[in-house]
Amino acid sequence: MTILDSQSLESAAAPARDDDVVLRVRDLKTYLYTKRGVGKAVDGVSFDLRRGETLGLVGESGSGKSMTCLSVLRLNPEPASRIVGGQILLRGEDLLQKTDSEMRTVRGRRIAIVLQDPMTALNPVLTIKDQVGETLRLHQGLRGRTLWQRAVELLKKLRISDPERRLNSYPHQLSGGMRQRIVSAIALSCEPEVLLADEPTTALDVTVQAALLKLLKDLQREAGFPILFVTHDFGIVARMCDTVAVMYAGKIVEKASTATLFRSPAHPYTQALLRSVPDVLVETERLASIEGQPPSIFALSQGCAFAPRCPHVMDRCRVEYPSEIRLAQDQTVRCWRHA
Amino acid sequence: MSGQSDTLLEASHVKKYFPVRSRIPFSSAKAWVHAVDDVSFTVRAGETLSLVGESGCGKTTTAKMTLMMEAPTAGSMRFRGQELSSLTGQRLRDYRGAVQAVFQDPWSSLNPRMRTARFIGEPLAVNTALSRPEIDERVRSLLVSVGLDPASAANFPHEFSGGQRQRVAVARALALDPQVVVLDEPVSALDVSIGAQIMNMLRDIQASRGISYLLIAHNLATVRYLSDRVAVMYLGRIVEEADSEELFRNPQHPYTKALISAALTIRPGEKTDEIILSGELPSAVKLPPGCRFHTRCPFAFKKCFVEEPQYREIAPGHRAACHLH
Repeated sequence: MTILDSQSLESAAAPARDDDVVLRVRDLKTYLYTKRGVGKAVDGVSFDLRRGETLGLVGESGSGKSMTCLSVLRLNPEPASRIVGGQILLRGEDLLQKTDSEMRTVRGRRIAIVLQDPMTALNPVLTIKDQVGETLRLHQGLRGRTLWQRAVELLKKLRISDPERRLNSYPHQLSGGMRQRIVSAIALSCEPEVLLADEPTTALDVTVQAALLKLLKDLQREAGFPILFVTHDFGIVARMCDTVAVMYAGKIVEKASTATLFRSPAHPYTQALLRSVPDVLVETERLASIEGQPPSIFALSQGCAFAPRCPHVMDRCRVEYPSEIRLAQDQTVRCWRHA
Repeated sequence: MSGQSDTLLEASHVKKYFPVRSRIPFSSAKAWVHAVDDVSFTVRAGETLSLVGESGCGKTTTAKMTLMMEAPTAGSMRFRGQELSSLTGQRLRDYRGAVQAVFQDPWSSLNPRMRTARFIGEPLAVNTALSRPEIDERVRSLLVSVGLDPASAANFPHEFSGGQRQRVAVARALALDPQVVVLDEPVSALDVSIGAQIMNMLRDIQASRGISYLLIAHNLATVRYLSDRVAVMYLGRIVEEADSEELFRNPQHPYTKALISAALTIRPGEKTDEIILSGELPSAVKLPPGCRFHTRCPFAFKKCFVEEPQYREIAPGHRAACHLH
């Protein structure tokens, strides 16, 4: 257990398979600018996304997980928020250096996103054909017959029954699960290098959610794109993700392979969070709840943001933010207890 | 395990059909949505009965009928033996005090323009003869019992976080000392760590006051943590009912199995058989013939397509409607 600075840490993390990294985010900072002052929504987030990998970004509301996801595509709401620092490297190209028009060739073609609510993601007055066709027309220049055929093919791939009829439907004529498949079809239409998924199944029923998760997994296995999966649900992490990053107040407090995180969570927040979810397979005597509230990102102290709620808090935690500490090949944590 | 006497709420063969009308005003119904279609259950004193199922299964309509926000199309709902539809005057007011509700979204269930003291005290002001100072005293003790600072009585809802708002909603529901509280998705709008606080609080309140809960939820883990008995609903029917532990250890209906398999576990190593349901929920207007689950059931056989399975006891206290048994 040694404290490393972030540079050497990353080189230690992936010495051999560096060329597998599709998306590399370094020290990303997205701040909110409001009347209440400056809020550090995303405050120095770093992660790598490798080919075929699914990284889960977990946290509670306000932890900055969705803002991280949107920032990768530079879709964070402006001028309320601004990316003020860091790098977003897509196969080595820094997306933060690109012009707006260059970004438009990245969004939808090289990095695609699936959002939470399929009803608001789809345009209610356009047919499915128009919406699936839009990306194919824009990014792949398809027209007429080939466009139609490709759209039908896509819907079939997403296991949508009767694709010809669905293409002529409007969003309100489809069920929630079907709509989210359409949204996924649009996202995957240009064979993106990275898929961002921001709570794609939260609005769905559990059995429909299970089917969509399995479908995404199958498609990923086939095409090999990495997924950044934003969620608050550890159950989804357990089923979908290879690695997990736990966010709290704008920072990643623990990063580990999924198996390690569930077996031996190291950060007190992760530990408490895992003990506060009931499970369907075992009887729970009593849930351990975390007392207090998450801190406001507008008034963060010098020290660890979790210190006010932490059962193991020490003097040092209140004055100094913990640096990233490597516990194992596949686990890092930001907590002074492990220093 | 219980006599007739400790049954509080009893629904027997309750149905609720909503008309689907054509666009011509005052025309008669073209068809009916079978939102709740022959549902029976009892809520006993001090226990939690959960109704689980996915959207459109009729669980919320059932809750609304218990709260008399909807009248059943057929069947009977009784509270302590009295038919709900026959209640009038003081008896109706007594019922409303005895059966209270906590809703899903504490952002819309609290009046944004009322201070907490008035919001929680309102049922007392309307239904009791207590004086203002007495009401204020009661409000303070209610706030303490839901884990809030009595000083927060002067706050408006926007000054609270989501978890605190849900505590305020619970305090109001408890104001008239109810015997049954209908909990309609009480934690699904809350964050994980806050949801745990609220679930623990609900269990503590039940233990100290001996009240009953009718819990409406879609999250099976929440249901398992809070319930004594569970009824699984599909397309307006209860398809399986059992004691909570029995239902989760030994599910019998294929739909219950699929629900449990779809509910994601976080215990590494614990692996359920993965049952992925195909297709969509059929329309509640035009119900499928035979078993209503056969269109999505992985085990459906010939009989399921034509004959509706009987809802019967397959083990003591464990009932299911499936031809496999």
